[in-house]
Amino acid sequence: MIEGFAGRRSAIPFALLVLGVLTIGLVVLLMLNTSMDDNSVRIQQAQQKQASLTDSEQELAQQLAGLSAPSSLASQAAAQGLVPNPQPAFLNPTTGVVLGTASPAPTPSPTPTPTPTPTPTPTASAASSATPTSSASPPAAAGGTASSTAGTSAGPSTSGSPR
Amino acid sequence: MTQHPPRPAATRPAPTLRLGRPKRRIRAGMFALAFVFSLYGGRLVQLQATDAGGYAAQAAADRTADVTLYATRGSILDASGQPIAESVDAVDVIADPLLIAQQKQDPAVYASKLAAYLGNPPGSVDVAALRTKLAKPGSQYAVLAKQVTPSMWKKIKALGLVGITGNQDPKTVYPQGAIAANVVGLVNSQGEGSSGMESAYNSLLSGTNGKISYQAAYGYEIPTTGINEQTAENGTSVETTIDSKIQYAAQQAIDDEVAKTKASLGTVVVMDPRSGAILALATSQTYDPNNPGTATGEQLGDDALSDVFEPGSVAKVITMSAEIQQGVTDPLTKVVVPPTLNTGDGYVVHDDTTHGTEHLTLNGILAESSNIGTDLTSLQLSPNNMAERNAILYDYFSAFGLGRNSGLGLPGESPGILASAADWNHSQQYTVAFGQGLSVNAVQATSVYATIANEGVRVTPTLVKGYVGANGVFTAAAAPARTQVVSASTAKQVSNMMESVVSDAGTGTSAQIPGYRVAGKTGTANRYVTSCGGYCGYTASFIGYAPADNPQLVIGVFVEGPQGADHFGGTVSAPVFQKVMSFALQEQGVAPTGAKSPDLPITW
Repeated sequence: MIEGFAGRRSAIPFALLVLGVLTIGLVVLLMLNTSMDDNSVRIQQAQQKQASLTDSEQELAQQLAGLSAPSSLASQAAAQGLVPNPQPAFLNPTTGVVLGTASPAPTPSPTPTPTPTPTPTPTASAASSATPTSSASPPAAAGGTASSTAGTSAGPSTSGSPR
Repeated sequence: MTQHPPRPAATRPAPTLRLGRPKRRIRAGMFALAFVFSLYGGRLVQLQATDAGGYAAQAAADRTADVTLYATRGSILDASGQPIAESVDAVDVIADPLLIAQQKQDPAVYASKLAAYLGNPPGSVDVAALRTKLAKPGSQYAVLAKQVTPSMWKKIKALGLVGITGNQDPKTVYPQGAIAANVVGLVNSQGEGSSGMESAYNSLLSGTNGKISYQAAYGYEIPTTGINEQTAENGTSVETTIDSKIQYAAQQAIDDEVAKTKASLGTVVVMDPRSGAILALATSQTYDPNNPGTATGEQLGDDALSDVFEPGSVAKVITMSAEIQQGVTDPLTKVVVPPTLNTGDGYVVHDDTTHGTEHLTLNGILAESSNIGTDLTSLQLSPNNMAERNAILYDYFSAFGLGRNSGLGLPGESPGILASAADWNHSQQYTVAFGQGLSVNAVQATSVYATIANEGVRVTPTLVKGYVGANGVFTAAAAPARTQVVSASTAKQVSNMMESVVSDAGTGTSAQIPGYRVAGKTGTANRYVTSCGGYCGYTASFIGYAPADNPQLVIGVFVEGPQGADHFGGTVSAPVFQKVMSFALQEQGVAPTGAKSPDLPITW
């Protein structure tokens, strides 16, 4: 009754094909899942690393801020024998005119004690080591002679007063 | 059991084996089975239909990790963008003593292991106290250390101790040390600003916490299940106009002076007259923000704003500005100043030093700070109508910003007292002109001089330069209000007179900075002290600016209650001004202009 049945090919290759597709599909799915899991773990680890790097960045930034704080700079400068300049004077680099009245710096207070490296909380070390006369100023402007400032806003300075 | 003899053979024939009734058994068995299965079925329905939602939710909750994403509080920055107060991650170390006991762990071992990491500096913690905390019977929550650094917490976590957990607790640090602590203010243990700018800008600074929830297994996210994330919005940082270096110098200078004169309070205000920016606001009543527990209530406020005092002679500048602006005097107006001025009604005006009849110019009156001269010339505002003269004077005092808040917007400011002209009593009508009978705070007083320095334009003082958003974008604060109080020409004339104050003939000689033109005014006011119920003490002040012909910095120094004979503005406060101004000029790179002072005549 069913014609052509005898001429039909064997079903085995088709079954194998289906099996093969299924297997490959399963394997690919497995690999995909594995790699996603792997990525998720890696993301987590990267995030943890980022967090710890952020933490150490924060700590270092705090240390830096502590070291560059005015109190810390003042005590470090005092330790090196620098004193604040009580008489601001400027040198105009283009004309060579001294603006203000320059005078020698006062003698630094005797034997400045070297300070320990300030900790992230510099208040303690700064307070303990600041010498009495020179605690008011960071070192930038210290020094007896005129501290030159490039391009002062002094204008043409025609009548500089080098008294 | 006793043994029975074998049973004798039955006498009657064995009965036929009666089969049970299978139908009944089957039925019974069916019923039994059905009953049992119905229990299963019922339970199934209960689980799957009635309670299903609850169980599913519980399962999801078990799988779901909910993590609060804490918003980082914004920082308070100085004018150069460096943080003065900054919120950083920190962790509280918590122990569960009950769990430790249940796990049969030795608290002593725990204590010795943890001790190496706790305390400041690490290792300085009291081991015995730590052990007591860890061994506390029945307790499930013992705080071992507050706010350790994240890196330290990582080391503690690496010890792998059961029953030790960490709790996120951000802390505020002050990396530059105590810089403008009273302005910046404090953050309380709930993470909210409780004073100063931390309080005034709390909503901006605090940001909004976020939340992240995802399905997790063993702490790792399960892929493809989706993440529900509400990102935390970090707080906005506030960039102040405070220059840390000038602030530090001002603080040192005022602390030294207060210690030297045994004064009860000293404040220094440094302003840029052109922008109204407050560069420094130092008060001797300050504290270490890293250790606020030791601060007294008095120290926690900001006396530069909350403390009001009678300004004294520094207010003469307002009176003279009024006179010149009204056109009734000029710096060279000749005045005969008698030794005393009897105003009638029992009130006699005196000068600080006794003198005979003097022939002073208006300039000389300011330079020598004559109360009598100031009163006499101020009467010219309306020679025949005292009420009108008072009203004019009041208008100028008010226009210069007295009697109302400075505009800084910090909590706890007192606007001082400037009674309306109609309410002035007899003596007050004369004393207000030279700064008694009214009260101001330090910022208000300094702002008056900033107005003169800025060619008569009052710029509302401001502490905020702008805001730095969480994304790092800077937004400038709204420009402060500007009002022309007196004309530029009036301001110039008053300024020239103030240079005479600092000249060798004036009261403010010790404010001189060689090479610079400095303008200023001394004040030595009688100070009302509540505890003694009257005037018993002085407020020594000096307010001035430099360079006088191109003012870039205004500094006010106020020392209240200096002890000893030396209590004058010119000797107590002017040297502090000189010190802070010399430093600030170098710090800001302000060179002398090289111009000569006008050197107006003092006498005639």
